[in-house]
Amino acid sequence: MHEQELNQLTIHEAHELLKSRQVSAVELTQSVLKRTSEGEDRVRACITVTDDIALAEAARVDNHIRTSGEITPLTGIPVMIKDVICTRGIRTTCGSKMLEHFVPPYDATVIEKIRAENAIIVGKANMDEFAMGSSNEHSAFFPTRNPWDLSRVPGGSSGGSAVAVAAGEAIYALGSDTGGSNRQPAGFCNVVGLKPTYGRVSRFGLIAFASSLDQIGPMTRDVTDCALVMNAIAGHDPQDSTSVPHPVPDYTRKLIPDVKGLRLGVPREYLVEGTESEVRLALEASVKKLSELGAEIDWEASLPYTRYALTAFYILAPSEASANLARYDGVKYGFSVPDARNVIEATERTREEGFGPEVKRRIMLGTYALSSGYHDAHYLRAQKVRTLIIREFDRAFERYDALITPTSPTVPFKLGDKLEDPVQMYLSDVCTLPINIAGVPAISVPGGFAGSLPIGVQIVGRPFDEETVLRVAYAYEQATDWHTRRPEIR
Amino acid sequence: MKTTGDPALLVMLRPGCYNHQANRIEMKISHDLVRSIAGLARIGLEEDEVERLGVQMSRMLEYFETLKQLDTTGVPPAAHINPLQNVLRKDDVVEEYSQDDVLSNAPRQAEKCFQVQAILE
Repeated sequence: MHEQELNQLTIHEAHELLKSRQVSAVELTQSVLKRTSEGEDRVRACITVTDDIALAEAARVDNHIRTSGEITPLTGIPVMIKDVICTRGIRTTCGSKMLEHFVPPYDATVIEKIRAENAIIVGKANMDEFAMGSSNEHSAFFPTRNPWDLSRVPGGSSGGSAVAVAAGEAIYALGSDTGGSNRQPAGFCNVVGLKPTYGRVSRFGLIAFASSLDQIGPMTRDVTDCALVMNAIAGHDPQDSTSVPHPVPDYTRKLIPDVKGLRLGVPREYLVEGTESEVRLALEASVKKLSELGAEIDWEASLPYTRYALTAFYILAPSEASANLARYDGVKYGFSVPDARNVIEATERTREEGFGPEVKRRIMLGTYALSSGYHDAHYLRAQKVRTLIIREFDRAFERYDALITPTSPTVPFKLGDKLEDPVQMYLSDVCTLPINIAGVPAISVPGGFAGSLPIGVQIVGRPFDEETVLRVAYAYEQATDWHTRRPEIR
Repeated sequence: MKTTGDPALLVMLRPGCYNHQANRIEMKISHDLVRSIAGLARIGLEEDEVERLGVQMSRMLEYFETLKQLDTTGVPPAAHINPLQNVLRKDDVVEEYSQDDVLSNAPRQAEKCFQVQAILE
């Protein structure tokens, strides 16, 4: 196979070629790294490219396959890791000046798991600082650009991960999703992005943003790959007390091109007037396709509390962030001003110079919402609203096996368009945030195009029922060809 | 400050109080309050940041207020979505990180310890 094409393979395609010894892990890795060296100056998906380590690892893995014959689905496959996930010995910046030189002394549990399968880590992906953002423009280093149109954003905060997968700088990626950070950029870049149920994947080694909302998930080129990555990373972890001990199914088991008998709801609150017409049309066409494939559709599904989820999110997430980010005091690790006169000045200046504007804004909001005198009016009330939203999803899933919505109300927007207006930026996640509030699983799959710009469709499922989410996604994918399109980077 | 572009989406944020004059920001968060919150959060701020955050936070606070339209009487707060409680583990001694590992990212260290500013004068 031509070297140029290797970086465009899916995990399962590359796996077959590795298994039959038609390609080596070194060849795969070289192809991905070559693509990175050619395209990176335009898209800028990576904060760190680990080329030397990756090539040495690939050679070791080739030898391992040759001598032991052992090969699992992720063995020898190049993967990009969002720079919020700790990698032992590899700089992990979280997109922040605060952690610009931070080298973790340990691996996140998900990294241990994929390393155990002999995955090849090719780099650390750019992201909005501390995963706070929807465009990658809040990276402290540089913005990532959308490979489908370099004047537009790739989405965020896992923008670098989505671009790496779309552009061939890795075969798949791991991202994190607190309010849509895997799904929205997946939709913007024409790849698959999953947010698993809260507690399904260990958060140990994921640098915390909002601990009750964060989940690590796969970003891949198709649904089969997504299931394969979930097989590797899901499961209970004693190091994360919020991970659940439920057994992990084989997520590929229910990947059948059939949705007969499934009841799907299209909640109208996710299709507000502000939704762009191309997004609306793509959603309608996608639902129609699922109907043709045998699903029962209810176009009149309704989740009236949806409208409050965004507000609740922007109280809860900054509150949790303000507590989590209190650890950055310039003492144990991270940026630290060298010349402060006393401990208060040292902390204040370290945080003033180490954090970017969006992170400061959210810490301030969260500190306000948690502070004495305002706590009950804001934080506690938002937690109660969260209960109402969780109950509403529970009720919806008594009637439906899954919900179908747009991933984002718009196509990818231009760099700079929403940067000065935080509320406009926050609205970009209006369809994905409620899912994290409810903790349920959801996937974004390629669902069409507006001209050359990708549109994502979101499928939402019951807690711990990733299998049905993946089944609907797979059936849809097999009946369409959106996911096979790749950008030409110009 | 730019106006919010999309009135339809704004409805979602401001249920029951759809109002095209939403651009007028009442400064609910005064500059003094911004400075006081920054003190609690231990974040130094320049004066122009105090100004900008005052406007932006006041605007966010308006959105926060919309939750008051919901009756939450008797609704328990949700901290997270899983029914897990009191997750316990054995307090086993395990080999984890060496002192060198733990100190490897320290901005300042002395005698194998993190070095900090004096807390007491």
